[in-house]
Amino acid sequence: MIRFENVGMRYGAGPEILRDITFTLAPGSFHFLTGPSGAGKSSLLRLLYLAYRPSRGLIHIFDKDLATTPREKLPILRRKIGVVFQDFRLLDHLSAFDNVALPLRISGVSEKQVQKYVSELLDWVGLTHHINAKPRTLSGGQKQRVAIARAIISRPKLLLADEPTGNVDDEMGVRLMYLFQELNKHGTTVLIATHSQHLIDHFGHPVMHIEDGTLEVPASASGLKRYQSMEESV
Amino acid sequence: MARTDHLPLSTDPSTKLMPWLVGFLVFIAVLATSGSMLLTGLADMWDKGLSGSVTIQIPPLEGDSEVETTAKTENILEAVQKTQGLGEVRLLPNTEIIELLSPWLGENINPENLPLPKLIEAEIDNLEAVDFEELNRRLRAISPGAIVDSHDVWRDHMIGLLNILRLVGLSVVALVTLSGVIMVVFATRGGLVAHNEVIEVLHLIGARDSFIARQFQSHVFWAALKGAVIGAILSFGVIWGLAEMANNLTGDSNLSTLPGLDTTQLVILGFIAPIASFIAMYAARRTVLTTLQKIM
Ligand SMILES: Nc1ncnc2c1ncn2[C@@H]1O[C@H](COP(=O)(O)OP(=O)(O)OP(=O)(O)O)[C@@H](O)[C@H]1O
Ligand SMILES: [Mg+2]
Repeated sequence: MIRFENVGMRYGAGPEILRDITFTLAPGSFHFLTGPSGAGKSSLLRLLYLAYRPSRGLIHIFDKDLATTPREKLPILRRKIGVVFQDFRLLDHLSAFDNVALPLRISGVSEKQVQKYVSELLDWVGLTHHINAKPRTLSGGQKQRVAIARAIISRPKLLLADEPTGNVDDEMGVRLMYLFQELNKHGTTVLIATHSQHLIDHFGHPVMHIEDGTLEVPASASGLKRYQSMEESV
Repeated sequence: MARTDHLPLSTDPSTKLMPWLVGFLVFIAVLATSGSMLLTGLADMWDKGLSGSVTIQIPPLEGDSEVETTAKTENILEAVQKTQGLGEVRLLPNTEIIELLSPWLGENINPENLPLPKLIEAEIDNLEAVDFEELNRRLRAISPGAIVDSHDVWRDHMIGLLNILRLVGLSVVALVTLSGVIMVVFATRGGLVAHNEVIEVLHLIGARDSFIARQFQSHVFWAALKGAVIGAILSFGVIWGLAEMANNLTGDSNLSTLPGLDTTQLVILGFIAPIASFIAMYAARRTVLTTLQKIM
């Protein structure tokens, strides 16, 4: 479903931050992404959620070659991707409710359903009493939960989360991870960047490790079989 | 339920100014348009010759006796009376001619010493029906020196002047529209820069450019409409005030001869405010769409 081949990335004219990134994510898979600070985890996720184009290499997302996908088609792809940004990126002028409702409203879901889904999900992440609060008045952990709710409200095909449990205690961290598990059970492909060994040990999903711009992948993400058969067919 | 503003545009300094600027521009546009309309009415009025009359001069011919001149004048009077499109015809008595000439020749003119021309005045009932060339030919046949003065030249000059003024009025409207559009374009670009982080998040969540454009559009439309309505109302106030002043100056007796604005023209003036708001909305939309096109 997701395939990277020899992908390189740089910001502007700067040095190459990511080098020769090659991996595949099978539909319905669940991976962690680890690596030291500054290794390039967030940058890799940015490529995945279509915020940047790679400076070289091939990216297939939902079996579409990104290089040949016209700009007008990107919103449709992005609507299938839920993102928890490392810095949340909540809209400060909107309430918690309106922030979470955003993806649904953008896709034109009826207001009646928006009310129902958003209330339910905010209940589940324990923010019933902060529905009308502006992000500025929320704690770090509360903001994080709003950001997670916004990422999963439209049941994306691909969920990308950048340190989604960095600001909550372990108990809440595990609770939020169950949300991702639940989504994953319904078919969502999940990739979570985290520093937390606790989470990795607790859930035991395969780990992709990035260090100094290059990626080591577990067998589950190497796409080895497919890659080899392609080599042969060339 | 109130629609959610997905961009906090109402607090932007650049868009806060918009109602005022649009209001000012619409104020000017309504004044200029109504001025053009009044001038059009005036030009039409003169063109139709509502105030028109025609004067025929018959200079005394060298060697013609008094009797001959009188006879020719009688013939000309008859010919003028038979001319289509002319109304009441009157031969001006000598005393009136002397009165007309006195500014140039002084009070004490002796008609015995000065050969006075004969003057015939005819009201124009229907200008289009009058064939001035034919009239001229017929009168010349009777008396070669006869001159038909239909005030054409003067009228044409005035109408030419009015047309220039009308053009000036329309240019003002065009310029005001252009500056309004430029203002909206810059305000919108400023808004796009100021909110680029929010716009990026909206994009990443899957918003199309048109979704973001709609935020700007509706905001600009309502801001512009607010200013435009106020500007139009003020403008109507000024027009009404000027009309009152004009009526007081010319006196009530002349009121009916001043061209006013008819209902159609008033409706057109009333439409300027909403039209301006739609133009502003469209300018904002185009700006957003073309600017966003340049980013991923
Ligand atoms: N917008 C940017 N412009 C230029 N350089 C950037 C930008 N964002 C990140 N970088 C650089 O790219 C490299 C990788 O950064 P990235 O944020 O991807 O690391 P990370 O693995 O997510 O780190 P952390 O664990 O601290 O979040 C760093 O050297 C960083 O300085
Ligand atoms: Mg990071």
